[in-house]
Amino acid sequence: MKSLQVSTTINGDAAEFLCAPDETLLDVLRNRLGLTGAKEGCGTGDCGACSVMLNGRLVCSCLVLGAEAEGAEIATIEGLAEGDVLHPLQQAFIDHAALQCGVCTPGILVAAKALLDRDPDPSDEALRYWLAGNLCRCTGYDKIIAAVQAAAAEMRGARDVA
Amino acid sequence: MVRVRLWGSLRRAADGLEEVEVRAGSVKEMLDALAEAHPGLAPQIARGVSVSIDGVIYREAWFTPIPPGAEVVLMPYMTGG
Amino acid sequence: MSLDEYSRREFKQVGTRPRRPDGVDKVTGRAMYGADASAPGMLVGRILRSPHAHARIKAIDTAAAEALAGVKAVITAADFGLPDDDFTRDVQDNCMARGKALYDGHAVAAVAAVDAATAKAALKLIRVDYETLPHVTDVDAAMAPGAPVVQEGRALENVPAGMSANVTSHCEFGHGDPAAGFARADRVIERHFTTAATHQGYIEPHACLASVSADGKADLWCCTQGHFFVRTLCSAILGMEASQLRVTASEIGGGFGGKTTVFIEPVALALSRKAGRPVKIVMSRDEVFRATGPTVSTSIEVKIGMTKDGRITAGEAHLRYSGGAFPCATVEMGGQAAFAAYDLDHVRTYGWNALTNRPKEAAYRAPGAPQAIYAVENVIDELCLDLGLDPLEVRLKNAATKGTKSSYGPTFPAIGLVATLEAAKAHPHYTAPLAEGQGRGLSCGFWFNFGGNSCVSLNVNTDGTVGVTEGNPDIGGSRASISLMAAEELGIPYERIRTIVADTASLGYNDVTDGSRVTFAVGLATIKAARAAIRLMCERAAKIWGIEADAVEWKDGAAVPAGPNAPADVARRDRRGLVRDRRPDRRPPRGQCRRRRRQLWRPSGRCRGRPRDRGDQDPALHDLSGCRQGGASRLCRGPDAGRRGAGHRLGAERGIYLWRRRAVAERGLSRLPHPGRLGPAEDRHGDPGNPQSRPSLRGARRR
Repeated sequence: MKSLQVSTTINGDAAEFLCAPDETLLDVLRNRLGLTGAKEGCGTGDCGACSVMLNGRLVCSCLVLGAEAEGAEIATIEGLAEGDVLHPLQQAFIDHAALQCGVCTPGILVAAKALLDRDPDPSDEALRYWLAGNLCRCTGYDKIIAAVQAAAAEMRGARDVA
Repeated sequence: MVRVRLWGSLRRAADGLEEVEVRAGSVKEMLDALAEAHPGLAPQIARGVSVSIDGVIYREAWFTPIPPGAEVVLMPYMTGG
Repeated sequence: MSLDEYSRREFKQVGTRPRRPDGVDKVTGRAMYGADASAPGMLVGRILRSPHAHARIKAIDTAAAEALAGVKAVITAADFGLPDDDFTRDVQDNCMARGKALYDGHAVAAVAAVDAATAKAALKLIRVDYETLPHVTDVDAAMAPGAPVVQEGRALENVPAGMSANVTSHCEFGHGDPAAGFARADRVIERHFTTAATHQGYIEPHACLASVSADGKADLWCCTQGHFFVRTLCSAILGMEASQLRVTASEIGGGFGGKTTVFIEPVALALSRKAGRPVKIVMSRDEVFRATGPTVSTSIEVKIGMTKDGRITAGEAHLRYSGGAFPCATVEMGGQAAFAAYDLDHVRTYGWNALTNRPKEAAYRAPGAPQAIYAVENVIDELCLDLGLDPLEVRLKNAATKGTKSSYGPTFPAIGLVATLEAAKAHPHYTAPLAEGQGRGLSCGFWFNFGGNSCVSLNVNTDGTVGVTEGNPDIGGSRASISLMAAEELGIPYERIRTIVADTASLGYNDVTDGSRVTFAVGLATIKAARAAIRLMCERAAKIWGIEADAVEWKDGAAVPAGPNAPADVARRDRRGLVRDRRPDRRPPRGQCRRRRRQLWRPSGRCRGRPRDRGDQDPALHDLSGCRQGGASRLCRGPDAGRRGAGHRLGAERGIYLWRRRAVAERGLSRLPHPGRLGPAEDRHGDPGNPQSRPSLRGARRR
């Protein structure tokens, strides 16, 4: 199969890559671009560990072909912090011990940010529904919910001040 | 002398005894003495056993001394998840 | 260390909730898991798996796959030797089927190719000639006469004659006379339970990267709960010396027991050896579920007798476990744990393991215990319901406690079950009103602690911070606990300690991260290491000050002269020296040159030059009189040391003193905990009052 050339923007930087027509965006990110923050837990869109943003939409990158990213803007976990300043979600996950093994954490952070971008003040129920597509095996989900809510509150506060 | 308690299925290999007595000062000496006195126990000892000495479970602790009068219980080799 | 020592001790660090040291890497995507490693020239490994639950492998034709462009190696069981011992052979046979495929998903061949597409295409070109055989997947069916035999000749000497060839082991635990106990009961209930071979379900599939060089040296990077055990297994399977295989544990994306053995690692090593290039294998989720360890599947009968007032008169369980297609001893854990929570006069458990055409069992959270306990607790609940008794009160009434002869033999030392039940009873959740559809229940559980081999290296760095090197993959935050314990013992802040998990070439042998042993056993090793470091530093301080070793005490992260043997002026002079030493304009103490003194004031604490080699003494202890340049862990002992107050740095140049000062000044901590007199600290670990075993630092067990 002939490789396809794809031009994208990843975390704000222009990125070009070659990929096979049947290659997933996750494989491209991990194996061709060295962005190993997104994980493959299932390869079938069940676990959410590979969550990334594609043109502002939360997707499982294991279910997206690399070729579909042509012209797209992609955001991954590697772009969440600004330099050495952690995103409030990242900080809240550490402060609230919302991670243990951490392999699901990048996906959950990307997914949580996607929710807070559209709803800065979600109910616990809305949050749990939203994160239902991200499986965590270690921590249980309560700390994750608490961390996201704490980050949301902090982000709302920052927004109000601004 | 050390009195060693055996678990149920080991007793058949030790003439039906629930407890056997051997002369030993350490775990290794005890295991060697057990295998010698009761050859039926040898295969299990070779596969691995844990030893409880006064309620503390040891896995590999051949040179751990066995205090006089200690409660010594043979247990299967422990593994965990 | 006795329990008393700890119940009296006021902890400053242990019990706090610091941020986990791996947190930032894990929230930024920087943490490296099994599948995140890569190497130049790396090939992609893929495994061909049996589509049959049970089949004889008559032939495997790999010629077409080998001929495919881009394929660099193809292997089958023929590429492995035949280990002597059953345990290693079973692990190997599970990684690559030899003669028979024993379950659906059993590996039969593997390829390494330049990319995933080529590897996948190559798998399709491998021709396996199977003769399918009848299979059995249910443990009771496997034990029935006439069942398909999974493996011949695997029964241990403890299996009674006349049982199905699939039965591999039998065990029996307990004491008393259950029949007599049942006769005294007001109510006896017997029930049958089955549990499925559920999978550990870690989110991270198994992954590894193997690189074998032409001279036989090999590196293996993998996600595992025990890389030393991986080395033991892989070196045995590959016929290598352990020293030639260095295994590095990646961050681990969950294990729950399932990553305590190997599945793909020997395959990747064999492929790499054959191809002469690094090979990476990453399992798909499908492969994880088909071919890695689930827990045992079980079939259990439990019979319990109880009086009207809730006293259990006898308990009996028949446990039939299957660990899949290979023998396993997990039923022994179930047999010991089933009734262990209770103080019973009459108790008996009987266990059997039987082979089935299922994946080989791997440990899973207290392997074998939850299944048996689940059955026992169900029957106890039903008895409570029947007799109109409160399930918590009944458990309190029967709870094992100090002095109870456990159902598996030993007499319990102090244990916490009653306290736990009392706490549950007092908890608001136990009496909170229930909404419709809500329920409330409780269960007792049990697991052992067996300590295990642990090795820790603790180093005081040139700037006085501390590095702890441990050898157990951190599956639950143990690096934080280990750092906390080191901080507690040393009396320095948690933040000044970094604990890492070292590879197999960098540390002595460590048992697997399993059985809830790591924080306990590695923690004890860490405490020993910290106390040894303190002892050494105090001895050095004594030499510097020219006083007796027992006149030096470790306090607030620093060695200080103390006690009746310490000349009173030593402390005073030392304090003066420290203060003066920080003044850049002060003249150097007699016997030391200006250059050396300047070096001490450098923020980095770094000194140029090589330590003077003195073969006749501790290599880290150098005589610095007359201006010797020294290395990081140097001590100064000039002719005026102790009299002119040179600011004696103990192993750490400046750091430890500075902490002490900071701790006092910034935090207002007047007194950090003191580890006590620094005698043979290790003796304390063997306190017979301690219900846990202690770690031993002996060599690896050949399994």
